[in-house]
Amino acid sequence: MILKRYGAGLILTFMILFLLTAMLLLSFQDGPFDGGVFLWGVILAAVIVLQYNILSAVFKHIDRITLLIADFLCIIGFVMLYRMNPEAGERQFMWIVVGNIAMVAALIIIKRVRDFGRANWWFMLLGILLLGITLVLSTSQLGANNWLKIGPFKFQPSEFVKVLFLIVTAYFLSTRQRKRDMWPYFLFTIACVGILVLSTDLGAALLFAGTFLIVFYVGTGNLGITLLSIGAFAGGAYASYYLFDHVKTRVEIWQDPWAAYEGKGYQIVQGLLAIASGGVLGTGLGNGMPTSIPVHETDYIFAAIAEEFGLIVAVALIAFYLVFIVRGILIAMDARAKFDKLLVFGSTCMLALQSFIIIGGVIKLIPLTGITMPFVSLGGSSMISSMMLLGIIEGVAQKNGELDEAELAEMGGGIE
Amino acid sequence: MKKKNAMNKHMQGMLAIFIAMFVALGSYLTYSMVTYGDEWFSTSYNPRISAARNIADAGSIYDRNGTRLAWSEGDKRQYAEDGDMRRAVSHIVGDVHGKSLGAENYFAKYLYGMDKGILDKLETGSRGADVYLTIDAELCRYIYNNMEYNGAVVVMNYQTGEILASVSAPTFDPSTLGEITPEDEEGSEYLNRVTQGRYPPGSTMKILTTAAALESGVTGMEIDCSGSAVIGGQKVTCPTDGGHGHVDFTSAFERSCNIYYAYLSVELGGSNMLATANQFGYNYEFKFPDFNMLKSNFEVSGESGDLAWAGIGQYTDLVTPMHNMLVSAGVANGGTVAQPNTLLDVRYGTSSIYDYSTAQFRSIMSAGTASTLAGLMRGTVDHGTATSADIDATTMNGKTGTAEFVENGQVKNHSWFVGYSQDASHPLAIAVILEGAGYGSRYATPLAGQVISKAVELGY
Amino acid sequence: MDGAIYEVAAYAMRYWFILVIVGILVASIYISYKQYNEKKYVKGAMSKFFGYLEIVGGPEEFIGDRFGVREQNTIGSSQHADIILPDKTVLATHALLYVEEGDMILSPTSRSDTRINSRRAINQHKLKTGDIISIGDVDFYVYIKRTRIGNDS
Repeated sequence: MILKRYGAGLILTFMILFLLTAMLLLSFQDGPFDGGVFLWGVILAAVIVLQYNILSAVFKHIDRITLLIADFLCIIGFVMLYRMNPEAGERQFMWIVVGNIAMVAALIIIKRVRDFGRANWWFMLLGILLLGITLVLSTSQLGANNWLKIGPFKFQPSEFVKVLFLIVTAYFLSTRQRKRDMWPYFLFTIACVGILVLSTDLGAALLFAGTFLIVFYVGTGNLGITLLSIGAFAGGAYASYYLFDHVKTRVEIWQDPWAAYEGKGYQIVQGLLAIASGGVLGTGLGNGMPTSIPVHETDYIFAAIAEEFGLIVAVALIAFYLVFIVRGILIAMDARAKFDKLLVFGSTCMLALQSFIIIGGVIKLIPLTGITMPFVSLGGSSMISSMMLLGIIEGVAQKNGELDEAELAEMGGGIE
Repeated sequence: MKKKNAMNKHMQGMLAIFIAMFVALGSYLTYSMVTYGDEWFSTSYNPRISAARNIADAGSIYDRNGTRLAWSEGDKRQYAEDGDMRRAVSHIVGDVHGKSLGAENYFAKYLYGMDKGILDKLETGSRGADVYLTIDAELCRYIYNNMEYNGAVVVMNYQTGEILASVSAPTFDPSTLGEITPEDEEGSEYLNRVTQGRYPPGSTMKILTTAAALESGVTGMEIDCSGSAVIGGQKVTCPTDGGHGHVDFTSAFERSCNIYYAYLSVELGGSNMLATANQFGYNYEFKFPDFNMLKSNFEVSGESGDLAWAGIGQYTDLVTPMHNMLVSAGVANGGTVAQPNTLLDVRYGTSSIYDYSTAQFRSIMSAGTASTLAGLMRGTVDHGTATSADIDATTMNGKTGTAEFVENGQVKNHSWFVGYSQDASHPLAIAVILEGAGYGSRYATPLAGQVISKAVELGY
Repeated sequence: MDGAIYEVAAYAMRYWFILVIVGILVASIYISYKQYNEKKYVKGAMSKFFGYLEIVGGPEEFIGDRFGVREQNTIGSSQHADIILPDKTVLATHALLYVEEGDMILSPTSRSDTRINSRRAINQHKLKTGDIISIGDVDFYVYIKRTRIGNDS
């Protein structure tokens, strides 16, 4: 019995081809050939090829498709960012490298660790502290107070609390049988979501609440408490609609962004116009005006991609996320330990919800809440945390593979 | 072991939900771009259009007879020399400053050559195409010169759907736009009332109520009209002193008896009326390819008094002149409404790249109902409230309306007329509204007669 | 490159980009699908095996051969046996090997020469990993799985 691990070399080749041709095209954007632009493409290509080959040699059971999809999302984000603002592209390159280091670190840690045990209490404390400090010290940025400045560095603590939250969630749901033993976890969740709502970081609040609901339901199968929580969150959302003006405006803008064009509807309308201007095939890389969309480097990068690459690629991007999610959940289902199962499932859920919330907001399927697009948007915090979630998924995939291999070996089989 | 399997079951369930969510994302994106993409693209909000708006290379806009309405001279956009004509067609032509929504915006992709592939552009140069509209500028000017009140007039060929005239007053002068003009103060002159103005339909709503009655076979009612009646606690009145006396189905329509129609609406019931209204296109988001048009409104409450008022075109009823014209076009065309179009042709030099085709918008009533209504509307012009539209040039059918509205605490009346020429060789449907003018029969109706006479004279 | 030429190049390149991206997507879906099916098959097949027998003694050419043990197996020289041993000392149906309530049981047929750890076996016997069973002249090493793949998922 041999289980074959498919090399995804072909996919990698196409990805590199895409990256190189896109950068080659961009190197002609300002007239004569600019070797510097193309060089960035070559460097990123080298990083990705190295990363893929080293990782799949050292950890032969990691999920290669998931890894490659994340890489591809990084690539298309990098190309788009570089096209809109070369300086942003260069910064994003740095974040991709740092993100990869974080991913490998997460992979190794998750492979070694059982469930972090008592450390979870410290994680909870750290999480609340990070969010709390941000709330107190934050500088306001685009309506959401979610930045923390330390010296020259600006980062978004909520991105890192995401990872802590997932570990704590998996720990409590896998080690506690009785609901009354989970109280510290419930309080932690409520505190996180509460602080995020107070910081007006609604996107992150929605993300935490949604992930809690889904993972709690899957982990315990307790429909009662899940429904109760859904009720509580719905009530909270309803209340915040009346309590906070910015929530109310967002819903109103969602219903008719054109009416509020002069004000807050501007960015939604500009996003839709960009997508509409691209049409099915797009305007061609460099031919559109994606820079006329507000926040085109982070929240609205999807609209920028849709404008220049077209509807087909935009839908393909959605499909890439879906394939990533399907594979993530299959890894979770395959995991042996309950902690691993819930951790991978939670990570996948969080990425799924995050990409759904931002893409849905941009295309006006749901009200817009500012949040980054995993692996694609510009930003160090977001890239590092998304990469850590990927590392968690890959770490458990590696664990699964090793166990499979051991079991197959017993029967004289193996994994190639 | 059991527990783990249950967990995997739940994960599978969530996976199904995630798949559904992402499929929804993809489908909604595709759906909205296919449905609204062109419209969104051509809004004046799109910075890409103003960026690509190289006035020097823009094509010209002509009316159906080749009268030049807008063209570029160097970097300046010029509009028809004749001042009255320029103002008469200003809403339908639009402007390059994005103040109004007209051909300059809706057909920007042709005018600026944005529909051309980049390869074509290299071959033929970047000059945009010339756009030919379905309107007759001469007819528009005639209407503009004869409108003594603010309001709107729209004329369509009910067989082909070509909009022959569309005038909205007050109007603006595109040639002085961008400079400060004192008239700018009012602000509503940029609004194209034909498609963006929503008015209570008043008695013109009786066409709809009559169609509902005919389709349900409720035509036998007869009443004695004393001039006022209380229905569901609300007082309904007829403007005629002493009332209409004994009226039946036919005379109630021709003489426009409010009380008869109030009773009739209640008799028909809210759901029946609402169904007919929806069939007529009320509460429907119009998606015409050539222009945007606001939704018309018809709703019912549980109160019979509200329904009585709704049936005579008051309560919360609202309709655009274009939509009201389409209703009469439906009656004229055996119940089927042709889709209204304003774009006749697009030409690069002498070669046309656009084929005008007549499309059906929807069927709003059965052919039998349409033919009975045609008889009633003929009677209205022949010996009812609309005799002032009885012209020599052709046989007119129509319905007047007087829509009440309150302005500065004073009750005023919009004057309505909707109708059409019964003669198939002059397939003209028309809607006229004059804001605050007074009774429909006194103001809108004679103007409609004049406009149709003029149109026939011009050969339509 | 002149602006207009860049525009044309970018315009033409979009087809290539769409092709590549859709290609990557289709390939990832295809490989995922294939991998999933294969894994399911292998795990399904594996879960049918409860352990294996490895030949450690007897005719030279047999040594090292492994036989997977399913829920019910017959051992013998007959072509119809599940575990076929073409040896003179093995009867057509020599012994039955089956799983009952999680235990692997060896049940020799009468008259057969069957030994467990060198002791003659006549009745049914529970086996455990590490036992050596002898069927005629052939010696098997017994391995019983601790965990079974497939039950988890």
